[in-house]
Amino acid sequence: MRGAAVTARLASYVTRLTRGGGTGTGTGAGAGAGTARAGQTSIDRRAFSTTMGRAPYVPPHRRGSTNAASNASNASNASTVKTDKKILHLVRHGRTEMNEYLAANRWDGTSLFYFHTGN
Amino acid sequence: MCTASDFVDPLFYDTRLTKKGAEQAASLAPVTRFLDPAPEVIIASPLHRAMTTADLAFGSCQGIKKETCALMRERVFHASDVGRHPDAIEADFPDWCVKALREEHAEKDGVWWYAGDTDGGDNLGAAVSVSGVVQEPVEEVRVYFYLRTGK
Repeated sequence: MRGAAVTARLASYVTRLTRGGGTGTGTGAGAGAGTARAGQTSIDRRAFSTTMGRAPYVPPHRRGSTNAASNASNASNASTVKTDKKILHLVRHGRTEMNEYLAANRWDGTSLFYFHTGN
Repeated sequence: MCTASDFVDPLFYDTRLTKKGAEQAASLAPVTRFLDPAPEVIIASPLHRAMTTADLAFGSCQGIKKETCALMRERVFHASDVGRHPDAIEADFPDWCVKALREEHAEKDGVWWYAGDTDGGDNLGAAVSVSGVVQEPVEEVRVYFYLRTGK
């Protein structure tokens, strides 16, 4: 079932996002975050480097047309094509004041986790 | 590396984006502008950082519904992960729909973030969500998006 597959993958991404630790933005939360597209299973790390000083983010279905003009052209051409697929673009929040604090005051989250779970 | 015992929470409740963070979010706007198909809805955690990021990243996308959903929240590790009442959120983000957030958490006086299992929680982040508290919302998220994909 397509919907179930999408949500299963999304749940995996959300799990990774909620673990925190990343301070990037756009789709740069980590290896698992990014764009989830129904019908696709592979995760391309190139999609997750939006603002981290590497290549700009290009959605998987737009790979191969990396400039804005081309994207605009494709958008206008493709806008008439209807699809029943749902695309989830997951965006990690930008750097926060707390991220800055954590960068200067390293915190071992696992210690707290073990403490509360009693393990 | 600090352990849980010597780490001092700076109490940055509902922590805000830094200037760098805002720039990171805004840098997505040229990309989101050309998303095809165009987004139907923007869903964000009710945390200020998430909604601000969404506003900046999708600022060039006009006429898209924007909803906030507590299921998208992060685990509560520090005060920075503690949210605010829906009224305060609505005041800061008037073009976002907080109706569902308000209604679903009305019985807890608008407390949508994890604030402990039972009585005694101060709703200010003293409680740290544990593994079971994380897993449960993930299951709810699955259902949430499964239902949305049919709309």
